[in-house]
Amino acid sequence: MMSLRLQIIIIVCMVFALIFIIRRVATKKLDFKFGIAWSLVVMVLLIFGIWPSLLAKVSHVLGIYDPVNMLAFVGLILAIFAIFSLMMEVSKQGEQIKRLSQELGILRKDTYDAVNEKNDKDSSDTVDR
Amino acid sequence: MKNIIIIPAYNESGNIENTVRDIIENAPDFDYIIVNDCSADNTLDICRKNHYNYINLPINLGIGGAVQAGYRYAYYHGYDTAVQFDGDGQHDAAYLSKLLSEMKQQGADMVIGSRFIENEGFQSSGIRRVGIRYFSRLIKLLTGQRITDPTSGMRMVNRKLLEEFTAAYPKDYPEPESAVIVLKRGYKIAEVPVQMRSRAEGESSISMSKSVYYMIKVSLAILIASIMK
Repeated sequence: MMSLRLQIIIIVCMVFALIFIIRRVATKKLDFKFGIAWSLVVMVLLIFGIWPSLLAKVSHVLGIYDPVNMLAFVGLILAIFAIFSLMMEVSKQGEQIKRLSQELGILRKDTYDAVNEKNDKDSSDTVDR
Repeated sequence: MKNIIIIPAYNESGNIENTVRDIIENAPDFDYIIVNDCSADNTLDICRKNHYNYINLPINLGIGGAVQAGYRYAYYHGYDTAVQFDGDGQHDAAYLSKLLSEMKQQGADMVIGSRFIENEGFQSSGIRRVGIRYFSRLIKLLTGQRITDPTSGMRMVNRKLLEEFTAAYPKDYPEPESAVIVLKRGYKIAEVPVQMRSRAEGESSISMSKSVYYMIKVSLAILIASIMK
């Protein structure tokens, strides 16, 4: 059973969380797809805050006796999922950085050659990489 | 006045030569730059072989990133206007001078070539038209201005917007969202009737299943953009 005070605290916190997320997305500090994912989580919690009996119903459907246990379990699953998708994003960016590094290295070589070839025709300055 | 055409190209080996030929023949006052978005086919080889002006991106960025690369190039190189022109052969270069004169006459910061003012030429598929009309209404609701073709890729911007877009430009399906951002910041958008052709070869990068996701995503992005100043 949830006290009214707790319900209000949850609802207020979730509203603030939603505003926080939307502002981050709007100022490009958070990617849109991550903003959507977290907004969904916040909205589910918001719904539970407004309608706590739903929490009990869902946990019974899942076969969990205590709704608090269900929250903890689901929260853990979500956290693991979030960490995993972050690792995938990091892997993808790692590949991109590798590609950029190679391109940059080759670009420096080509620039070096082009500048020195020009300089062979004029003065004796050379470009240092 | 220095004017440039930005041609984002992803896997357009079947269309790119015709596109460039169209530009050279029908828009001789414009420079152009192809932005090869890390194509998997031989678009790059075709560009090299023909000695086209092109930027070759080492990582695929999508239409938003590729066009922004073009805007950045245009900005750094001192262009006064830049117009996006699709590499798939749907756009007709003969209309480019029309966009330019409209920009000068109306003092507009952005000029969009719209298929739906006179409703001639290729009008896109039925489902897409429903989506386009929906975005048109949403934009009117949020900004007060009616944009008849919010997803049109044929759009010209002036140097002020070049600076804005170089700093920030949306990533996926950027056309409706950027229009809202532009309007919310007090810039002026004008539209000019144009005719487009259907895509000659290859595939659109936006499939049907992606369309639903994009509808939701762009709607949300437009809503967020309209809250911001």
